[in-house]
Amino acid sequence: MPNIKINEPYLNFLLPSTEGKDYSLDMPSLGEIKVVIFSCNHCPYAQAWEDRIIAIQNSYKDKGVSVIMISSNDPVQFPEDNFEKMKERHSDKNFNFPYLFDESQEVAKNYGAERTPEVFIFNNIGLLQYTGAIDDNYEDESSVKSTYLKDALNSILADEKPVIENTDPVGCTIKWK
Amino acid sequence: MNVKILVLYNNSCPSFEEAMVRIKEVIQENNFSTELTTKLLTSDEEAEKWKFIGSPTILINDKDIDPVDSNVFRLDNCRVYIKEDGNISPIPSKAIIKNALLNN
Repeated sequence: MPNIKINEPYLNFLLPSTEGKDYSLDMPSLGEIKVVIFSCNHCPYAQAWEDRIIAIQNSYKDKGVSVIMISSNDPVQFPEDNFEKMKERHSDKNFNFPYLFDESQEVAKNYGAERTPEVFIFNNIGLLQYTGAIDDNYEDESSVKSTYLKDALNSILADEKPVIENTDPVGCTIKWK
Repeated sequence: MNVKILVLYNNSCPSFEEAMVRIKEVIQENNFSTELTTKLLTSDEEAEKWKFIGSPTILINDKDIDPVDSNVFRLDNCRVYIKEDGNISPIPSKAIIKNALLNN
């Protein structure tokens, strides 16, 4: 269960990215609307949704939306998720958003994230507006009926509350130390 | 003679039930004669014993339907399958299941 409730402010962090830069949510270079996604390299659910996340960042970049992806998995249990492999994944997939390593797992714990992928959307004043899944079909994008993340972003951009504020995230468990 | 299908799974990956639906659809659509059973694994020791590389793992007459060259056996891992279009899925496509049954 997320530790941040709807309309509560984001919990800031400072984490290293796969591109060698540290990121926090109050950086001016990020868009006003932040989409924080807990994800990882190895999980098939995370992989299945990656291209859709890239497409969403492409579509919404000019509307002040920034995706920030975080991996909090224990790289000892899952070497596929270590920082070097994260850098390779970023390069291979040509991510158009920062991919951050939460080595201490404190950020995932603070947010109450449990799955990969799991989305938290914060509006232009930093309040949580949506948390949960990206859409309702991990396997086949053409069969998606509910585009939760996009719908929430469209509502926020129209100065409206998302109709759906919470869904159950579907994916692998975060691998705790 | 019935073909034995054994589905190994864990409690943490959400795709087990969907995989079961897909397996049953393939069996029905192709009139395969099968004996379908499942086994929930609950420890890394069991994962090691069963050479379990992720949930769901589907064995047909003791052979993995999509063999992977791996010696990393972990309970809390979701299985990666590659679909015919090259995309990733946590469950095998109908074609993978059907081909494995036909080639058994």
